[in-house]
Amino acid sequence: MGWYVVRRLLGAIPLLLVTSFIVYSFLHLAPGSPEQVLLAGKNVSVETLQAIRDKYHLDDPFLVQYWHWLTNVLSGDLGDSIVFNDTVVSVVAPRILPTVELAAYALLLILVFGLSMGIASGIKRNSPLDTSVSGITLVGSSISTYVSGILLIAVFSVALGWFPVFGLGTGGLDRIYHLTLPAIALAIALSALVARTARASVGNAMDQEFVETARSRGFTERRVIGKHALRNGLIPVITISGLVFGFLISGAVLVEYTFGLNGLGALLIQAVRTKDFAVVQAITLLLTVAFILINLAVDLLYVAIDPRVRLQRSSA
Amino acid sequence: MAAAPVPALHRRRFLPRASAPAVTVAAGAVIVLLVLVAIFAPLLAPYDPNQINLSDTLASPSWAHPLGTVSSGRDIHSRLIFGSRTSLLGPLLVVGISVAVGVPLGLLGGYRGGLVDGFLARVWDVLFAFPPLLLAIVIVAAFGAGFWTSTIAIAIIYIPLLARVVRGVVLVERERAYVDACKVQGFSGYRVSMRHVLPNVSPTIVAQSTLNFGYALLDLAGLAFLGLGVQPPTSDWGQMLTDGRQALISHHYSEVLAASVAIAVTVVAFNLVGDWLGDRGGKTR
Amino acid sequence: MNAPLLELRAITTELEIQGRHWPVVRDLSLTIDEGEVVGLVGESGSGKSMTARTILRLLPPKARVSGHVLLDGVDLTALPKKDLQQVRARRISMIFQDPRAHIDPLWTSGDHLMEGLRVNGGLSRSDARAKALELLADVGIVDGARVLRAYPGALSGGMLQRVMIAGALAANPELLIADEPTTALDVTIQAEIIAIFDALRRERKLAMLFITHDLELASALCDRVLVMYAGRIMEEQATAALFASPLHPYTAGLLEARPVLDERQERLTVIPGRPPTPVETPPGCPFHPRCSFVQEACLTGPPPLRRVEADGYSACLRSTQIRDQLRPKFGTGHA
Repeated sequence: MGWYVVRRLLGAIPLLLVTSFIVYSFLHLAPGSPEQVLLAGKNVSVETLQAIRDKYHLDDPFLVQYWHWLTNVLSGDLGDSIVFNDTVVSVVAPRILPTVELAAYALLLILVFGLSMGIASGIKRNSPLDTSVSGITLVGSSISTYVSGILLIAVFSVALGWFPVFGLGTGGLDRIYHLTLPAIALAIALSALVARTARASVGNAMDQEFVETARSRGFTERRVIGKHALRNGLIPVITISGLVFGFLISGAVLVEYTFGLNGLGALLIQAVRTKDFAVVQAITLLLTVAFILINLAVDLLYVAIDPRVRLQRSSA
Repeated sequence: MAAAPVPALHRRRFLPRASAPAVTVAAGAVIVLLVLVAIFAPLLAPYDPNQINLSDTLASPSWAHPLGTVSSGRDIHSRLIFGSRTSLLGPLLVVGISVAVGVPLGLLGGYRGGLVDGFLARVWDVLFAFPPLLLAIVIVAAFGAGFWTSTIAIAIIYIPLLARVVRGVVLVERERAYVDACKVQGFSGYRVSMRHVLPNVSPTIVAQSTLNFGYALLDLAGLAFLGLGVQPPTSDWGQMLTDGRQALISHHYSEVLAASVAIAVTVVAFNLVGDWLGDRGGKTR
Repeated sequence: MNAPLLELRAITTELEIQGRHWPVVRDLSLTIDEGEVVGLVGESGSGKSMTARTILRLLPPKARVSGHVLLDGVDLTALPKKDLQQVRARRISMIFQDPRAHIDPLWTSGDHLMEGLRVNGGLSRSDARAKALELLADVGIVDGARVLRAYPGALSGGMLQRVMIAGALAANPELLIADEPTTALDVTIQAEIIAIFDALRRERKLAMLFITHDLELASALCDRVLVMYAGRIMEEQATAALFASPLHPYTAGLLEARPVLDERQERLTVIPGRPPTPVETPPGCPFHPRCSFVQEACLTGPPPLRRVEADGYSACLRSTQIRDQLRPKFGTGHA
């Protein structure tokens, strides 16, 4: 197991390199010269232009440029934002926390509502509860975060006036208050995905023969479900949780824009629109690295929980 | 041999419900209707969707404007009808591109296996390493917002998705007797995969593409909503959401509601039909 | 004579199949005395497994049961859930056909064994471990410590079935129900598992309901054999008597269908046709479409199980004729 963890961690390094390389190469793929891309078409003095060429080593071969960029990134230098007139790090860093808060809040809602709905209807299939959960999840999975976000604003912020329309609030409870609708918007579609998966897999686990064995041994239904059916039924939920995190990141971009929250996502869209390419690169890289590491963690968790996979992979 | 009959009985009773087809038929009808609306938009729309009328801005629904007007006085009803064109054309192109590129690569990887398959799998791994929409956003950032950039950017996300599904089915299909029979007759790998394996995996491709159509519509509308896709004044449902979001603050709901309902209904319809095709394809194979 | 340990009285079990209830066990009665091993033999779908599941109330949802299951005179069909769990935990254990499907793959076999010992037996962790090792030794596992640490995926089918038997013995039950315990295993392992059951019977005086489709296997282990067809008992006799002198044409057919090594046979006789599913069960004697002794009366209603010999019961109208006609054929053979 320990050796497997090391191997997986090492295995993620090429993926991180290749994705960062792709993110970097967009600077050259974009129409116009790299320094023009970085300057977003602004007119600057010859000296400034040369300063950028020097900083990005644009006179060197492509791979050397990438290498310089990468080493800079690893030492915490992500370049400068042409729009904010500041280093990318000081522009991006304060935006991380709101996004993490939003995602964590949404994740909590997904676990509390999506997962429990799915488990409950998986245990009691074909009950009235199950039928209503199926209906809710079908609609829920077809509504994207921005659609649900706007509808939530229309109903709860504008029509009823219960929640603020825009912004992050002042922190603490006010932050939670401001993040509630965005988190719900972000959680709806993903709750549906999690609920559908959990319903199918828990339902399937309830039909497994070992559940019958546990019953035949005189265990309480609580123990039969908790120790045997649920543990087996939740493995597929863990395998899709990488996907859930991916959608959580993409969805956060849309939700932050919808609700005017000053997180990474809103900054990303702003940067794309103002052609602030260094910021776009930095946020893309940050979110992608986070996604890769989350997927790695999910995979290791999966291996830790399922001994069958452990047997298979440690022998492979 | 006495197999325990209990589990078999369980499984038989939990097949998809028999009432599904009625819903599926309704969903299919919705799709046909949408396509007709998109084709005959000029005949159905009461106004030019781009006609600015500054004397009649943000009008509430009335006989003249069943869904009201936007801040520039454009008729929402007409914009919704014309919006179906871009909103359906984009996903259609995404599905087309992903089939044209993803299916051959999936067939190649699944049928040939070995180094080719290994290489393709690595490429897909890299594309899947990006959070879904993020790659599209970077592509748009590099090449500029617009209908074509956003469509191609989204298509790039869907290619590996479809290729992986096709590869998976081909791996199963490859082991079947008829493939061996073809090989014994000396047919080339290309001929076997195109003439024999492809028809057998096509139900899966059709089902997956139907689902992808709905999701691609959501993604494209999302990019348009972010201002990265279709640009104004072109009518588009995602674009209508951005526009309507401004009007929302002054309690004008109709544009947002019209666009939301249009998007949600379309996606639910494609989901239902796609799920049904998937179930059916799974049974016939 | 003492009262039996377990008695099934006129049990009818119906399962829901596609919205309707169909009987899979019909008007079935049987008794098992303390320390007695009773075989329940029949083809796939004859209702053997459902009979076992009726005893412990392990039927699928919406199943309906009429009749009584009496354990020491206490009716299990009417027992409150909590008391039923106590019966399952302490008095009747069950072993299933496919150990790989019937043991939770996410826990080690040690977890599997110790769960029963700790939850039902209230043992401490270390006591449970010691006891688990002891139980594994009882079922012929020498390297118990390794097996305790192993996940089911790492163990062979035969090894897993031993673990399941050990798990069933953990409850120290009075009755063991074994549902086709060797069917999923290799023939050589089959013999080893049967040897374990035989030892349990001799050393622990453990009563068993042994369910199998294999008459030969039943004869190796059982004191008494009940032959089941289409949810009904067709014949019941002491094992030796059943082999020497079958009273029911179905039993005779089963006996003829088995290969006998010490006789030269031109070909194996097989019973024509296949057993009916609950949905297709014909009126009259359920076996009549496949029976070579069929007569008009067989079609009027299912014949009841009647006493034909001192300790022999048959549900055939022509039992005595069949006995007399077939005795020369079987009488010299197996015992």
